[in-house]
Amino acid sequence: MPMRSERMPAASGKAEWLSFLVLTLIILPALAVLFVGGYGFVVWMSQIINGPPVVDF
Amino acid sequence: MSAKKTLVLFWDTLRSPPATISLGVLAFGGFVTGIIFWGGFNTALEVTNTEKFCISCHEMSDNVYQELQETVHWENRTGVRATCPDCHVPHEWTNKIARKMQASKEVWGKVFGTINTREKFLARREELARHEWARLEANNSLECRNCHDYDSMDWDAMSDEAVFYMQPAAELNTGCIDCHKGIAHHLPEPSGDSPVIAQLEGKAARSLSSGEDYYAYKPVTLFTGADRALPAGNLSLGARVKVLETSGDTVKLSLDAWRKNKGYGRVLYDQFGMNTRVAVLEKDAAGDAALVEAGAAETDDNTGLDWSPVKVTLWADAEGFVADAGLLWDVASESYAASCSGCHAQPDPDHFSTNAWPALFSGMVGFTNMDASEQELVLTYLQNHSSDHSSTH
Ligand code: HEC
Ligand code: HEC
Ligand code: HEC
Ligand code: HEC
Ligand code: HEC
Repeated sequence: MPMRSERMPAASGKAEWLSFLVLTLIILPALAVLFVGGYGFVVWMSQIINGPPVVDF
Repeated sequence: MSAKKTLVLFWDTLRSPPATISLGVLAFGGFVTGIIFWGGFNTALEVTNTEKFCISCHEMSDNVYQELQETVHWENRTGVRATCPDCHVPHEWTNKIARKMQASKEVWGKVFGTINTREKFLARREELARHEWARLEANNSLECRNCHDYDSMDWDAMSDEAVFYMQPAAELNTGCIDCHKGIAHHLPEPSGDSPVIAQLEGKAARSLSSGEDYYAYKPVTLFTGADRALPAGNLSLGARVKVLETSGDTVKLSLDAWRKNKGYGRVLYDQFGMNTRVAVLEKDAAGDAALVEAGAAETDDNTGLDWSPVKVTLWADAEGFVADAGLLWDVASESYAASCSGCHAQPDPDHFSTNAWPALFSGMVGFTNMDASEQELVLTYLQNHSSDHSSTH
């Protein structure tokens, strides 16, 4: 990877912390909510097509 | 720094190994935020699953919440309180998440004020209630049965009426909502628009051709002349007519039927001796020989009544007919199966005669939530597929 490290100077400590915090506190939680929501949405749509869940006692 | 540059720097930083933050700090940071996130997520899920949250919208608290307070699920001798989510939100995780996403419809409704006044709520209530009934019917009243269970019911402690209906229901494992509608809120006022008729609306014949037979799928008003000024009566659901002429949205039609030679002969029936109603005429129209042409009378030996064949020629709006009776019977048999199979297997239509069905049906229909049009359609279906028809057709 010599090419890349030449193009890109080693990240400064400040940029690294900022990126870390943005990733763990904002982006990943947002993605997680999006995925769970998307999953819920897919289930909802499948329930519209296949009907709601049925449970036999 | 431009937004693009920031993004590039951000992306490059993420792609390269950390230079200043230690691996331990990164792992610890990820671990802790993970825990906080999961806790927060579940807390949010829990908070939105409380009654307090539900009634934070006045749409929910002004109407259904007030009504709940009059019921046994609000206050009872055992002190168990059923809250909104107990009955309305699935408990299983996947279905709960799906219901939460479904609530985006409610947020939409809140923003656009679909039920933000009492009047709007009452107007929409039947539809909302039908959603809930459909859900509870499909899952066999799962939410009710998180608290109630047939196996734990003490039949000796129940009223005779409850035992009479619920013991067979327990054997068939019938869902509670089939019989216990409106236990938590007021029932919707019956509205004029029948969902069953609405289902048929899309299948109505677009244009009628002369010489063809058609079937009424909704109550059709008959008139004495092409100007449609003087009403002559009503066609019943399922009545078969022959179209003679069409002009614009008016049709001239003829109806071959029978009437009892008793009284004014206002009620017309499908066949000799069969109480399947096809039309009810106004007194004047029924007595007008120009409109109603009667043939030679025959005597029904079972009842001793004289019946005459009649040929009726009248006018009507071209709307309200389907070309194929099968369309009506499909909808009717579905509705019959859905409404009449809750307590016992629905009897085969040809298990009873055409003349026996009306009494049997009216004795049972009170247990169902069929609207008036639906009742008429289903009864007509049963009569047209009774034991009198199964051998001949
Ligand atoms: C943001 C305000 C709001 C909150 C909070 C809210 N609702 Fe609603 N709810 C509405 C509106 C608006 C409608 C009507 C939606 C429509 O017109 O389709 C509705 C409709 C419903 C319906 C009918 C459902 C259907 O499928 O048509 C049920 C059941 C319901 N709410 C239960 C609940 C429960 C249980 C809660 C608490 C977990 C809750 N609501 C919280 C605003 C809210
Ligand atoms: C949170 C638990 C819970 C849920 C969920 C629940 N119930 Fe109940 N239900 C009760 C309790 C508690 C009583 C009152 C028992 C008593 O008489 O002390 C009761 C009473 C009843 C009664 C008797 C009414 C009367 O007037 O005596 C009926 C009927 C009933 N429930 C039907 C339902 C139906 C249908 C559902 C689903 C839509 C349902 N319940 C959901 C707890 C629940
Ligand atoms: C076949 C129709 C039918 C079904 C299905 C049904 N019930 Fe009932 N239930 C009745 C009738 C009728 C009564 C007596 C009238 C009344 O109290 O409303 C009754 C009464 C009750 C009572 C009051 C009993 C008493 O005398 O104190 C409770 C509680 C009850 N039902 C709960 C349930 C639950 C829970 C379910 C679902 C697991 C259920 N019912 C399913 C018809 C039914
Ligand atoms: C004991 C179970 C039960 C509880 C508790 C309950 N509901 Fe319902 N709810 C039902 C049933 C069953 C229906 C279907 C309509 C009917 O049968 O009345 C319904 C219908 C509705 C509807 C559709 C409109 C209507 O009136 O039919 C809304 C909105 C609603 N509920 C909101 C709520 C809210 C908000 C709460 C809490 C304050 C709540 N429900 C508590 C059982 C319950
Ligand atoms: C609430 C429960 C319930 C529902 C819903 C219900 N029935 Fe019944 N039905 C009964 C019971 C209980 C009997 C037995 C009554 C008797 O023998 O006196 C019965 C008996 C019958 C019989 C047999 C009568 C005989 O003499 O053999 C017919 C036919 C019938 N029902 C038709 C229907 C039709 C049609 C519907 C739909 C409109 C319907 N039932 C809906 C409870 C129900």
